[in-house]
Amino acid sequence: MPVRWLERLLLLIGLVCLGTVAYAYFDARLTARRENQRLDAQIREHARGEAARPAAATDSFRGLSAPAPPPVQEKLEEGALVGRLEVPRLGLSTIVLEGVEDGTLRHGAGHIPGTGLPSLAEAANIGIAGHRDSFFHPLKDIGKNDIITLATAERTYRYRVEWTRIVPPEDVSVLADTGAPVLTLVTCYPFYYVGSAPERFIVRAQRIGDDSPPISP
Amino acid sequence: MKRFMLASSTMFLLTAGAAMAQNPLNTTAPGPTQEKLPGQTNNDLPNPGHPIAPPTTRVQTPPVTENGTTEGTAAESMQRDTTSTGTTGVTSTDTTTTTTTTTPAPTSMSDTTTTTDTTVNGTSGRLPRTGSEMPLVGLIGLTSLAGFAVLRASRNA
Repeated sequence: MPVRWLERLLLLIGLVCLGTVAYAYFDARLTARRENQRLDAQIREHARGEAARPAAATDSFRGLSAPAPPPVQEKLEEGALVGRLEVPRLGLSTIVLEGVEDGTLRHGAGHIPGTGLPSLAEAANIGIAGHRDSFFHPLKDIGKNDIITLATAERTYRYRVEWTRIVPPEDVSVLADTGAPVLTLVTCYPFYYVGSAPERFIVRAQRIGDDSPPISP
Repeated sequence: MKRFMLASSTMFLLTAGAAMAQNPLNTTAPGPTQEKLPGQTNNDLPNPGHPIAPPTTRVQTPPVTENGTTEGTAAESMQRDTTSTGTTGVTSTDTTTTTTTTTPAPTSMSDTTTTTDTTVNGTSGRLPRTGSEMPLVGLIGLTSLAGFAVLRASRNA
């Protein structure tokens, strides 16, 4: 009789745990899909606005009044859409949301609050964190000179990997401003580790060349 | 009773296997692009930041030095006027005054130049936790189902 109860208990635990994992997986996929569509719509909208701007500028010149610049949001809310991060060589493509709360990192990579945002500061250290066992897992194969793109609604920024490093979790100096436009990716290390990993894997990339227009979907 | 002992020992073995999976020594060796030696990055570049972390420094914007330009704030203009000789009445381009005005970086160019705080506010002194609990939950689930299967098989045998 106790064996039968143990059996049922194990079955229940197994189904609940695997159901939770399956729900988290599909929830992340659906959220990523929805946010990707939203970002693409924003990119298209911005492109249309850019195309219409010369005519508007001419009109305003006639009227001797410059058009007011669009308001820039200084601080985003937790979970707000920031952009899309891609490493083409590794096939990594993930949506970037604001914040590093558990719920946010379950749906995509998270922009670390307090670090730069490409739309706010040109020469900023943009910190982005992601789970090593999901979105940032391909980073285990990243190497020097790999190209990283960060697409926002306004434009696409390209970065080249300078170095990778393994640091303790307390070493926040990797997120400090360097005076140059850089991107810092943070994930846990080792990559194959169940539970809270003891170290952090850092990828530092420098912005390169000119910024191409946003990637069209 | 024998069956129960068999099931218990099987469960112990499965749990021990899950516990061993968390051992740091059980992780796979770093790949070709990962760190090879302590203090050495995967790119064979010197790694001064490991294992001793550099101190957290806040890089400040260098001060702007203006020498006799016609730009500047009203305060700068007044400062130049007061430090010049004033005998000729031409003060803005007078090089004999050698007034080096050191001012903070201009901040009123436009509203869009507002920068974020460079100190890492949201991290509370630690880098974000980027390991989800899902692998652990999945492992527990698989272990439980395996235990269930073993129990069921042993009961039917």
